[in-house]
Amino acid sequence: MEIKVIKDVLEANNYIACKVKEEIAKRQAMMINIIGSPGAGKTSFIVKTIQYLDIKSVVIEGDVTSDIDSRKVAEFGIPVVQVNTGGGCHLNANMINLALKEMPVKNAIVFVENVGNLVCPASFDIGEDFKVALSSVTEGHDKPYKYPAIFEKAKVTILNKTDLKKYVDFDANFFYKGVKTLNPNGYIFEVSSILADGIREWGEWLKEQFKEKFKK
Amino acid sequence: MLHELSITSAILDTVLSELPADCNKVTRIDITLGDLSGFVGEHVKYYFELLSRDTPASDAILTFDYKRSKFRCTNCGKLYERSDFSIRCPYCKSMGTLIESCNSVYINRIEVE
Repeated sequence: MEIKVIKDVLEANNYIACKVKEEIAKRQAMMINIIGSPGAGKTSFIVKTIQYLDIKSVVIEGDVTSDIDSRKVAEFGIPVVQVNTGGGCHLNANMINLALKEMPVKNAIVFVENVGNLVCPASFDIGEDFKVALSSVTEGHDKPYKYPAIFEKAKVTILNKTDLKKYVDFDANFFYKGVKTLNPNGYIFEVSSILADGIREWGEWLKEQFKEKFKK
Repeated sequence: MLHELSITSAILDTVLSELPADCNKVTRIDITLGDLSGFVGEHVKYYFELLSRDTPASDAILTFDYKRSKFRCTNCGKLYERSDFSIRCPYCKSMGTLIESCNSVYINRIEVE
């Protein structure tokens, strides 16, 4: 016997993601999902961004194990909840749903640092307003070609560690061609989180997004 | 390869939730995989074998229909599909623009006994 199904296998996750999105909107908040390889500089980027913003911000840290990143964020006085996936290589919507219950924040930007990985986090929506793909010059210029899904889905691509460009063989033109092919309408910012270069441009854009969300 | 674990678990859950009460064996599952999903059919099969043990789907055959994303070349204007190793235009080797993204994973049909 044949059964026609035609069902997205991520339907259950997507349902919870919709609920999370509603909850975030109810709290007059905005949530961004930051996705990048291990060592791309996600945590430093988040800290530098929050230090620049004059908007209340909180962080949900996703890691397979450990609380190293959440302790680093907490050192700067930023409210943070650590989520350990226990082997899973991405955060899913239910994890965020539970983390938000521990964090009754309103009128804020929720930064979610996903597990360091460019594959699965692109597939699993968590109820975010938008995804940010964070890549660094030390990873090489081929990332959009090797991991197209995240560069296609991200509203913003951040190229981090630009202070190290002179030390590595990074073809910026090739990188940007790949990003633009997959995502012609996406936004791109170059930053050096260590030097805080480019954080102002990105931070101002982010503030504008936050204001715009509640104008509607 | 780890990446396929969650998606395979979701596939199995979806299949089992669709089974009629009087059915005790799933024989075939047809899955559509978008090329931008980043998931590999062979790895899904590997995890499915492990996860489906002691379920009605343990002997099911998995088939995969790979959907390829479509691009429009910004140089020669031709429409092309993403090839296995490149997002460049196969005609003039320029870069294009993504016009149809295939990044979903769907179950199309299942066969049961």
